[in-house]
This record gives sequence, structure tokens and C-alpha cells, in this order.
Amino acid sequence: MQKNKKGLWAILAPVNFEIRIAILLSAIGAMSLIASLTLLSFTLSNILEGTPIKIFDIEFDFFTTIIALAIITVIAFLTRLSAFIVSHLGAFRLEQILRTNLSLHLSKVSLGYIISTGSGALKKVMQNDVTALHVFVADSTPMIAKSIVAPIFTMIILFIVDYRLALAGIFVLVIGATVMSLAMKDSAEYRVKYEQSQTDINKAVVEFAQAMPVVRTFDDGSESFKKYNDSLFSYRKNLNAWMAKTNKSAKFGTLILTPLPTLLAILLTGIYLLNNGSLELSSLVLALFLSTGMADALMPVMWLNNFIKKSQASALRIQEILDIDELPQAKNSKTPNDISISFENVSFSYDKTDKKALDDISFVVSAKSTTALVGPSGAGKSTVAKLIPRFWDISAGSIKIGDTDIRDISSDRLMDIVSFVFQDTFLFADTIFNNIKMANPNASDEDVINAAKAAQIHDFIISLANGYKTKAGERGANLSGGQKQRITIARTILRDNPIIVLDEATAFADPENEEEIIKALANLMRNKTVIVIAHRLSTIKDVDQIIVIDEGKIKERGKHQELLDNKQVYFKLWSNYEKAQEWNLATKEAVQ
Amino acid sequence: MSQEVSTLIQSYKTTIEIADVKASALKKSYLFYVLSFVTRGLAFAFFFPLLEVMFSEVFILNDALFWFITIVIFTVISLSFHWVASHFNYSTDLTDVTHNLRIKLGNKIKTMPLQRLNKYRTGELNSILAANVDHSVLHMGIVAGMGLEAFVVPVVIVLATFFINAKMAFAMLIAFPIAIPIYKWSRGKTKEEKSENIKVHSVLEADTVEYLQGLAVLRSINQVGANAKNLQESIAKAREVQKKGTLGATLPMVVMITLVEFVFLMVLSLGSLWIANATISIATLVALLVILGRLSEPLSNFLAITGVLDIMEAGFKNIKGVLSQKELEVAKPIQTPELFDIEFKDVDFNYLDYDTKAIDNVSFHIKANSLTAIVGPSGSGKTTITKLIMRYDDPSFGDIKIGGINIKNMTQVQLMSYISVVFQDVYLFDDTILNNIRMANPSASDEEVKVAAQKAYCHEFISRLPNAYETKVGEIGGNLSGGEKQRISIARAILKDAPIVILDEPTSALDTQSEVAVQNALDELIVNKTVIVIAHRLSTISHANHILVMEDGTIKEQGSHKELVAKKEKYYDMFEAQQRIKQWHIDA
Repeated sequence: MQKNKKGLWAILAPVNFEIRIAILLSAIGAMSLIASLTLLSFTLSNILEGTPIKIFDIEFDFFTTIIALAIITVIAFLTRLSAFIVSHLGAFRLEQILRTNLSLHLSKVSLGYIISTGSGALKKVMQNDVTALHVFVADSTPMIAKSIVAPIFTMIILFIVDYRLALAGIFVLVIGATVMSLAMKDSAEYRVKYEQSQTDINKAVVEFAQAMPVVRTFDDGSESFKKYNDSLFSYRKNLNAWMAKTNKSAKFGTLILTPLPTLLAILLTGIYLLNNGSLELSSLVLALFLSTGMADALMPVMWLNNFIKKSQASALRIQEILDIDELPQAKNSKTPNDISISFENVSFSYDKTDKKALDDISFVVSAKSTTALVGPSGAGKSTVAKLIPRFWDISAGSIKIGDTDIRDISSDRLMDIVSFVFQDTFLFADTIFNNIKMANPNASDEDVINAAKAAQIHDFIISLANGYKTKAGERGANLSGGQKQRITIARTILRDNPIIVLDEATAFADPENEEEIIKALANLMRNKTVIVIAHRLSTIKDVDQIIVIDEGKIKERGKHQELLDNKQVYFKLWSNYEKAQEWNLATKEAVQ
Repeated sequence: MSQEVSTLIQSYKTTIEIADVKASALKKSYLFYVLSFVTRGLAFAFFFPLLEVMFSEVFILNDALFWFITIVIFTVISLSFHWVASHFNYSTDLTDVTHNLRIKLGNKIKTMPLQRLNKYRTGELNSILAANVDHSVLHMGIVAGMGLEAFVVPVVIVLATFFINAKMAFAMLIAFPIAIPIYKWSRGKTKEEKSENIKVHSVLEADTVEYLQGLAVLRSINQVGANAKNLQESIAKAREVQKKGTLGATLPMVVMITLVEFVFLMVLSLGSLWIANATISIATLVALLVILGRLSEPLSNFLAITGVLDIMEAGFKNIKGVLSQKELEVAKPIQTPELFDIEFKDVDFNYLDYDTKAIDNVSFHIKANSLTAIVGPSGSGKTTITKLIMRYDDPSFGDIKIGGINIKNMTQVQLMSYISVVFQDVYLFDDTILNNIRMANPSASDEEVKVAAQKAYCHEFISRLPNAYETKVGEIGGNLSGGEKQRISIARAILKDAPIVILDEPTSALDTQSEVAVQNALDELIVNKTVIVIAHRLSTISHANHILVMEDGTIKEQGSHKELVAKKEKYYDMFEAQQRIKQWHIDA
């Protein structure tokens, strides 16, 4: 609990100044009401008794009282307003700081982390969790004043003025709090059960709702509905049990904390004291004004507690991201001497588990040659491919471009050497022209158009109403997957990096555009060092080197015919492939 | 004012609607709340005479006790009513309400047309069934109570005071005319600046997503972190817009909080004048101020929860949205088909919110036990046809018949019992593999499930799992390959043994290893069935009895592979292009 608390306040630290000022100001504002009521109770009762009080030689009759009250009210208003404004301004500043820090940090961590966490989850943190903290900073500060400062100040004043009335006022409060805490004590386990069944409902609902289209095709939904149903029944049972346990004391507690019981206690005490002549009227009036203030604070305290818990969760998530290690950068970036790639005894696992995704992999791709990686899915092909642009750091061995380990090349420079083409069809909210040109800000218009032509997308672009100036991206034109893919290929062509890492599946993502994409890729790969993850074995028949990977290890390597002659893994893959290609769906019975 | 009242009345009506069979218990609760607040108001009214006695020159104990006991009596009555009233919030009645509501919602989800169901994003349905019901329903009694309190108590106090001293009642009324326009002003401001806020935040969200998804590209051109222009601008703009709105957002709230003091001031001023001309006594003024303090309390409590009210109202809206969805009508008489040929006659269909027809005047006839392939570019209507067969929604024109019987004359359960579907995505439940397959036919024995798995070429890989068929899907953390999942899907379809099978590009997302196994499984599945397959790879369906070539929602050509190739039109072009692609390979 202590550690968690540290998390929340640590994240808020940049705006500590605003937070403290806001708390101070709102505390003053809260105390001012109490001060004005105190003043009022004294002046009124003294006027009643015919002896108006004097402060600093000023006689406090009605007129003066009203003026004083007006001044205090204005102070209260101004302090509260400024407290809110300060807390809100601090909140906005915090948002900007957190979002900038997050975006900066994310630009330095391994791309692999970003991909595996997913942009959706990261966006949630950058948007929702940051907003949650903003709300906390903006709104919690006045609550702190209301729920902590005000009741304490009230109690102090009451006790100073007349401890007997103060005790009467607290008496009721204490009974209520005791009863409620007694109820809460035993109910902890019921609460846990209830919260568990709440979680179960959430799970059942997710399955029920997500699966509905599938479920409907198989039955009337009665199976998954049964699960859902069961979770509802268990929830009801647990909730009833919890409520049965706590309801009497909860109801009693709420009743006791309504204003009347406290006021009655004070009135009764007042009557008794008046009767034996030991009561100052001013004390009575003050007690009547202030006493319920302490009970009133109870609700804000509970809200505040809940608030803190929720905000801690957000703070934790933000901290998690900021704690991810940045990809270590070499102090002096070296430049490789050629564009060959070599893996030397490379091992790698995705998380720090023992399961190795790659186990002692070694191979060489000579400059300007093409190597294909084949193997069953999950075998490690795409892992190898992603390590070349340094999506993650390996755990053993060395990956080199030319004679230089990629860890000795700065990320910027590495991005100038290696391009990877996966099924990424992400376009920025900008013109198609700029989406291509961003690969090389120094390119001429002609270069951009040539790249588009090579990517087989130029004709399509000029067929659009606004041609190259058409806006792309989510808020832009409605482009098909294949069209977007070719634009990103144009981008890559324009960039003209010497090493290309390619996922062949790219070509087949959009059936309508297959031919064009294949031509675009062919243009892309000309004169480069290429590593391609292959799925359709026929496309890689003629490459310079085929590497067969299975279970994280290299099983075979060589050219197509050699491997066929080996009659090992590759041979089996190839036969399966051919069989799959010949396959034809057909009914075995005659048509009626 | 009237608008606020009418929304409150609307909310009241909604709570009664939601309470359904327990509505009378809820109404009783509301009634007792009102009674409790009325008696509370009266109890407060008696403060006047009591304080007069306590502040008078000569203190008469009996008089004081008399009034005191009167207040005590009213207080006890008020608290008793409150006790009874709040019972609903902790009772089995309330839990029943949430329970029944969720069952109703679940039933709706089961029976509403799939098209309408798909309109809801998954997250949305979750939050309606889980969070919305929790937030809106569980607390509705308490919130309603607070609303009633804020209204009834002040009204009663003012009325009662009227009988004691009209001037005092009048002084109290000062509070209201001020509070209401300020309240409206604060709500109005929040809504207005909210939309500015929403706009700038949705731009920020889009820019954040763009940054994250495009990070690789941005890194390569060093447009990251402080250099990420778009993102940094949006972040700064969000701060600016919010800054501008700060005063507008905070001022009304602070004014409302300070209202108590303002009102005190005003009443004090007024009261002092009246005291000056001996119209009222100081005791009365003190009593008035004490009671005024109690007036403002329920009011400020209520203001504090208007945010909660908004959330509740939004929740109610969502819940009602689901409950009001129209179900598909089953036309009488309900009939059972004996044969399983499929006919589309002059069918038109467009998706909700779309003007263009997804299917335009489509007619065809598929013979029973034949294999029909539907091919064409994406968006041409292939999937729509299969969806309509499953009665995803009703066509805007035309008829769909199975075995000569219109599918409108069948119940949904009945219709789905005739059809098995193998989708591209396979949804696995967090349950054992055995149960995941068995769901296709809940009455199947373990043996029958295993036979189906064998036919679907799953048996081998399932047997190699940690607990074989008893392995829970969650345990293996989704570590089944695409091909393995696909075969489980096919096993389901085999077990179900429905006469019609729909295949939606079943081998498109598979790697080579899996493809052969899946193909074998499919060969088993389609024996003796009416089969419709949506395929992209034309070579895989060249033996189909019938091929429908679709484009822009209409059938452009139909026939056998030979016939279509001979025509040398659309189908031929597609086929030739694919042949060329097959030849492609990377040059050395």
C-alpha cells in the first residue's frame, strides 16, 4: 500500500507546486465559512443579550457584522475560485508533461515492445490514464479540504468554545461511525465474494457478447447463455448475502448521520445546561451552526478514498511504461563496410523466460543476394526477420551488417540501412504525396512519382479527384488494403535502403491487388540485400539461399534443388505445398 | 427549470420501467422517502418555537421540553419512514431487478438480428451488460432518494415556515430564485465547453494512434518525441482549450458552493432590518439561519451527484437501446423443409445506414447436395449472401427459401440447425477442447466428439496437448496455430452434421503445413451436404458444380468452370491473373 501511494504522488510530482497551493487555498476557503459562522454566532448572541462584542475597538452591531461577513464571504469565494483554477491549471500542465514524456520514452524503447503491447493499449494509457490523473489533480484538492481540514478545524473550535456541546455533537457521530465500522469488519469476506462474482459476470459477458455471432450458428446460445446465467445467479446470491449482512448497520449508519440526530443531541444538552444556567448562548448558536459539519465530511472522505484508489491504478500503468528500458544506443555510431548480413550464434527469447525463440542461429546473407526463410508457423522465421532492424536485443551472439554489430550502429543510422515491409498499411493523415515523400524529405517531385510508378500505384493515384493531393489516413480517403500497401511500398522504394526485410504474405493480403503488389515488390527488391519470409514456396524457388527454420533452429540451408535432393524437412514442406496447390474442393456424391 | 424537471421526471419513469415486476416495491420506497422528508421538514419547522423559548430572557424548562419532544417525535417518525424507504436499496428486490434486467438483456442479445448485434462494438455490449447495469441500477434508489430529498425538504420547510411567520418563509424563498438560474448556467456552460473539449480530445486521440502506429516510420525520419510535430501540437492545443475553459468550468461550481454564504448574508441583512423595526426576534433569526444551513445541504449533495446522474442517464439510455431492438419476426405457419436446396428470388438488401444496395436483384438456385462457389472482388456481396441465408437480417425485397420454404417461416433456432459455418476466424471458449467441439451438438457423447475430431484431422494434435481433450483453451494460452484452430472449427461442423455447409475462405490465412490438413478435413466435411464456399483461389473451386461470379452486388456470370472460362469475361480474367501469379517467383 505504501509503495502504491508512492507511485501516485511520484507521478504527480511535476505539479506539486500547484497541488500544494490549491490545497492551501481551498483549506483557507473552507475555514473561512467556519470563521464566518463563528463570528456570526458570537455577534448575534451578544446583540441578543444587549451587549454587542467589541473587536479592535469596533462594536459589532448588525451592520458591522454584515460587513465583516461580506468580507469573509468574498475571501472565501476568491480563495475557492483560485484554488480550483490553480488545481485545474496544474492538471492541464501535468497532462502535457506526461503525454510528452510518454511519447518521448516510447520513441526510444524497442519497437518490439510497441508492437507486442499494441498501439491500442498504449493509446489507452496515453489518453485515458493521463486524463484520470488530470481529473484527480483538478478535483481532489477541494475534496481534501472539505473532508479533512474543515471537520478538524470545526472540532477544534467547538471544543475551545464549549466542550460539553462539542461532546454532544460528536457523540452521535461516534455512535454512527462505530456501528458502521462494526458492520464493515465482518463483511470483508462477503465483499470479496461479491467483487469476485462481479468479475465473473464481466468475463461471462465478454464471452457471451463476443461469441454471439459464432454461438448463434451452433445452437440457440443456450450453452454460453448457461455460463452467463450461472454467473448471474452466483452474483445475485453473493450480493444478497453481502447485503443481508450489512444492510441493517448501513441503514442505521446513514440515518444517524442525517442532521437531525446531531442537532437534537445538541439541543437536549443545551436545554439541560440552560436549565442549570451554565450555558453561553453564543456557544449554543455556534454548536447549532457547526456541529453537522463533521458528519457532512464523512461522505467526501469515502469518495476521496475511492478516488485515490482509481488514480493509483492509472499512475501505475503510466509508470510501467516509463520503466521499460530504452534500447541501449552506441556512443559512437559505426558505419558498416558493406551490406551483407550475418547472424553469429544468435539466441533470443521474447520475455525473460527459458523458452528460446531462437537457439544458436548462424548464417550469412551476402551483399545484394536474396535469402528466403521458410518453416512451419511459429518456427522463428519472423523473429529472425524482426531482429535485423533491432526490434529487440538478442540475448546471445551477434547480428552484424557488414563487419559491424547492429548494436554499434545508432538507431537512426540503422533505419537508413534496413527497411522492413510487413503487412503494415499505416498511412499518416496527410496527402498521399507527403506520405510517400516522408521517406526522403530531400526527394524531388519526380523521385516521388517514379517511386509511385515502380510501386504500381501511380495510375490509381492520378485517377483520384485530387490526385496526389488526396488526403490519406483514417480521416482521409477510403483506400483498400492493397492500395495502402502499394503506397507504403512506394515509400520504401523512395527510401532506397540497401537492405530489405520482407514478409511475403504482404503480397497476398489483398487478393484483388495481388498482381500489382507482386510487381511492386519485384521493383523494390532489385539490387538489394533481401531477406524474405516465404509462405508460398514456389515464389522462392530461384533465390540464392533458402534457410529452413524449425523450433528456433536452422534445420537445413542451401538452394532449392539441393534441399529437394536432401529429402529432409524442405522436401516435406515442398511436397505438402504442391499437394495444397493441387487441391480442389469437390463433392463426392452425385448431384440430385 | 422545466427542462430539468422534465428530465428528472423522465429518469423517474425510467427507474420504474427498469424495476419491472418490482415496480410497486420501488414506488413504495419512493413514497416512504417523500413521507420521511415531509416529516423531516416539519421537524425543522418546529425549531422556530423551540429556539424562541431557549433564547428568551426567562427560560421555561417545560415549554422547551414540550417543543423539543415534538421535534423528537417528528424526527423519529421521519427516521422510521426513511428506514422503510431505504429497505429497497438493500433488499432482494433490488438484486432481483438487476438480475432480471441482465437476463432480459441477455435474451435480447440472443434473439436480435445479427446485423443489429454487429452494430455494437464488443466493448459496448460488455459495458451495457456489466457496468451500465451496476452503475445505473444498483444505485438508482439511493440517487432517487437524494433527488427527492433536495426537493421535498426545502419545500416543506418553506411551507411550514409560512404558517409560522410569512416573512421568514419569504426570506427563505430568496435562496431558490438565485440557485436555479445559477445551476442552469453551470450546466449550460459545462455542456458547451464540453463539445469543444471533446473535439480537441478526439483529434488528440487520433494523433496519438497515428504516432504509435507509425512509430517505426517516424523513427526512421526522426520525427519522434519532441519532433513529433502533429502530436506535440495536439497535446499543446488540448491544454490551451482546457485552459480557456477553466474559468467557465470552475466559476459556476464555486458560485454554487459559496451560495450558502451568499444566502446567509442576504437573509442576515434582511433579518437585521426586520429586527430593527421589531418585526421578528433575534431568536427567530438564529432559528432561520440554522434551518437555512440545513436547506442548503441536501441541495449541495444533489449538485454533487448530478455528475452521477448523467452517468446513470447515459446508462439507462444504452440499456433501453438494447431492450428496444426489434427481433426478427417469425411468420406463421412455421414449416419444416424436407430437402435442402437454396433459392434466392429477386433479393435486394442494404446494410443499416448505407444507401447503396449490397445485394441488387439477385436470383439463383442451388441444388441440394451440390457444391456452389461464390467468387468476386471484396465488397461484391459474397459474404452478404451467406449472411442472408442465416437470416442476418431480412432482405428489403425478395425471398430466400430453403427446401421451397421461406426462411421467415422458420424460427431462428430451427434455421441455424440446418446450417454449419466455417469462418476465417475461430472463436474458442475458455473451456476444454472437448466442450469446445461439443458445443455444436450439446447432446453428443465424448465418443462422438472424438470421431468428429478424427475426421477433421484434429485427433493427433489434440492428443499431444498436456491434457489431450481435457486441456482448457486458456491453459495453452491460444497457442494453437491457425490451421489447428481451423480444424477444430471443422470438427464442430462435422459433429453438428447440418445439411447445409457454408465455408468462408477457410484456407486463406494458413501456412503450408496446416493447409493440407485443413484441406483433408474439408473434404470430409462436405460429403453429402449442400455446400456454399466463398473462395478466392479459383483453382480450389474449379470442380464446383456451380460458380457465381459477383460484382457490385449482382451476379455477373454463373456456370461451371469450363463454361465460364470459355466465355472469356470476368471469371476468365480473374483466373488468368491467378495463373500468372502462380508462376511468379523471385529472380536470382
